[in-house]
Amino acid sequence: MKPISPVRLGLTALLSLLLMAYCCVAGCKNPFKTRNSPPPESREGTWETPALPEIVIENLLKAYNEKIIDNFAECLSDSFRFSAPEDSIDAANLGLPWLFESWDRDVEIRVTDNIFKTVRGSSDSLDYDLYLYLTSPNQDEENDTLAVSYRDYELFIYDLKVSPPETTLAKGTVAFNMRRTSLNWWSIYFWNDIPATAGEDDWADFKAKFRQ
Amino acid sequence: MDVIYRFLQMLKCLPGILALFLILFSKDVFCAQLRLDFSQDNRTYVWNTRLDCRPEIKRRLSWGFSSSINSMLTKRSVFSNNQDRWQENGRIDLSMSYALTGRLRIGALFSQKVSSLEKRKVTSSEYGITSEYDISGVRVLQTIGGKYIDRRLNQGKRKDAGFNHRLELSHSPHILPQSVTTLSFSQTNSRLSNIPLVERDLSLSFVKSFATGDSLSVFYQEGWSRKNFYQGDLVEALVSTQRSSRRVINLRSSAWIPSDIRVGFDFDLTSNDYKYSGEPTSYVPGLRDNRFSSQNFRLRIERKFLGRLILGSFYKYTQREEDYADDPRDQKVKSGDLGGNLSVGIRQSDSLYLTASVGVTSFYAQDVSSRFDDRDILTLIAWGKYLHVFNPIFSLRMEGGFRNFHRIYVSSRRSANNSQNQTYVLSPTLIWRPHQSFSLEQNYNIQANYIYYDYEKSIESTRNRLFRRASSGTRMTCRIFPRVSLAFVYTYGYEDYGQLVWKDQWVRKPSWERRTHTFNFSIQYQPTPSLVFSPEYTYQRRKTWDHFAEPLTFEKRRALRDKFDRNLISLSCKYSIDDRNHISLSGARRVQESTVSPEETYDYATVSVSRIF
Repeated sequence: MKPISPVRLGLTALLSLLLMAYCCVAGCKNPFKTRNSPPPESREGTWETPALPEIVIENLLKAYNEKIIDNFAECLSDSFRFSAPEDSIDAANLGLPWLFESWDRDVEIRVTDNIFKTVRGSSDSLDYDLYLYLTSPNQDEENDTLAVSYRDYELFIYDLKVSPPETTLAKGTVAFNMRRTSLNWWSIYFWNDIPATAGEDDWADFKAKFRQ
Repeated sequence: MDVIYRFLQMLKCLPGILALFLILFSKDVFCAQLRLDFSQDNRTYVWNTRLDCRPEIKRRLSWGFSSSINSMLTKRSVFSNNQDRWQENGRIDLSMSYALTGRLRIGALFSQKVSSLEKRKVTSSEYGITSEYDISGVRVLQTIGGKYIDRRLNQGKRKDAGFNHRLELSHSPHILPQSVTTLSFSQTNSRLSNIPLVERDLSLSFVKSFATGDSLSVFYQEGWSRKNFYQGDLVEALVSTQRSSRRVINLRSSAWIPSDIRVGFDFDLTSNDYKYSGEPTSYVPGLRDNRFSSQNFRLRIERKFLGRLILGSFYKYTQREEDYADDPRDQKVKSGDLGGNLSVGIRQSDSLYLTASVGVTSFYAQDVSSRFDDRDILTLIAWGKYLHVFNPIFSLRMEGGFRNFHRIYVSSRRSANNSQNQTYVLSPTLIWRPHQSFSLEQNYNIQANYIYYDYEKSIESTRNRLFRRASSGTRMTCRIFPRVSLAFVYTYGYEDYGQLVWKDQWVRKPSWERRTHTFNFSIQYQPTPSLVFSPEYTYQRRKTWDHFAEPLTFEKRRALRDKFDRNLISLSCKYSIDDRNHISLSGARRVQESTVSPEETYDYATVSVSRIF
């Protein structure tokens, strides 16, 4: 057995103290215990195994309209990036170059969760409907491990605070680059958003308003 | 102040003139790298140009120059209604410095960035004089100059200009032996006319390693910033202010304790506060003061037994909080994970690695109206790898695992979504390498994904699903001549998908199936050591069938839904003139057709030139 030097002993004692102090202050989480759940009063939420790229898009569309963040998060891969090149230029124009910077999976989930919660929490003042359509001509590409799907979208945003209610239409085209992995099946690793008309409202503009 | 500003504006031209002078006359110290790339992918054309000059510092004078221009053209059809779209980004950096004494260095820098998209364009420039000196071990770096931003939109333009100052202080005192301590401070002050910016950062890091293998590392950072930005239309924009503060603490430690056990403890804390002030706008949610904080710790224990078995275990706790001041978006997340791993060399020819973890992540909403979304996610993951070497030319690699997500909502409004999502994977691979120039690899892969809902087990729910996938891949590589090698790959894939019905056990009710055959053949031919040709051909046939029951007889049948064929041919060529100069060309054509879509042809091309002077 190795002799224990005073420095090592001191370091070990320090680490033990730090751990105990932290556990006392912050507490721990039981990794086996979950909370109880009552029987459902209604049924909502649609999710299918993303066995094909088009199923990922279906899952994403349903999650967005049903506002279920876990189903939405399942559509994104760990290395996810979001890009909105035209909106980035506009953001830089306004002195907000950071608005679209480093938009990874965590940011996407946080922004989308903010959208879902805001709409859920104030459905009498803000709501939206999302529609996705195949582009014409269809440009989708797919091979064994990679796929790119293009979709034209229409996002109707309803501002119900004003009378009469105002509707904003965000239109554009998204390119979903997807990757197939062992455990996650197909998932989106790159999402590119371009407005239908340069300078007009698009989905990325709507999302960016919830990034704070 | 105005005189100083005008003087600094004059300085803008100086670095460029000096850099050009040095490029022309400093042959002995000149070193540069030029890279030109062009690629075409269907309707997207990309040009990248980059030039870097980084001369060796031989005398007191040093300088650097770098430039890059990226252009992208997206042809109409996919992304636009009526016109092609051009996007261009460019950057030029020039810097030079002169060592007046061993401790004092002065210099100048100039930087310009251009970012444009059609008629919208942002140009920003920075220029200034720099000084770098050392006072009793404290390194002080200062930049004083100007900053200019020109923004142009269809409806107008806006310019911002002003004084720019940056200060960096760093000191590395020697506190303990075998340790490195660094204390640094930086401040940026851009006094732009409408959107000034002030940023301050203070950080401290300490790293100590012990001869016994123990180590300790601590990092602390405190940041503060105040920045103004435009909101709304650029021409009649409103100005808002964001004040932010950031705190980061990281601790990494590892120590040997009695009984030869290695213990590690890591701790991370991050806190970000944002406060907004200014004119209210039409922002949908409105900019709202918010705070995001997270903290986590990880405890690791590891011990080696009998010199060949390593057993490790960990516990990880994470807590995250988002606070928008009594808003439905407020959220708290707590997560605990317990796991372990085993690595063992059973015999010289057998090795095994196993890892498993179990954890619960809980989401809590602060706002009453959002508590319906409170949920727990129970995660169970197990993975293993086994390697057996039959003899030096023949081996088996086996990989397999299991993952289960159990999602549990605590409110009756969402509990219909309580579900199990299970995935099983098994993948054995046989590798036969009888000769240095020949190898044969056979891989099998079986996967299954079960999704079923807790409250829909007793009913025939269409949401309970099973997806299965299997594949067999054969890869053969052969070097038939010293300069010619061949590779052949054949893959067969099978997938099916359908509903799960509970009849004392899960029974599958297929919905569709898909079978894919892929052949790939490639040659690598190297006529001279500097030239490589690589032609490649791929053929893929994919058939998809729908499963259904006859309406009257209930006889189970399948019908061909889609037949898909793809041919891909490509050729690439790489020519290395010498160690410093390379040219590569590649092109591909893909033709595909299916019963549900007409024949489609895609072309890809890439040209790349790299030269080091």
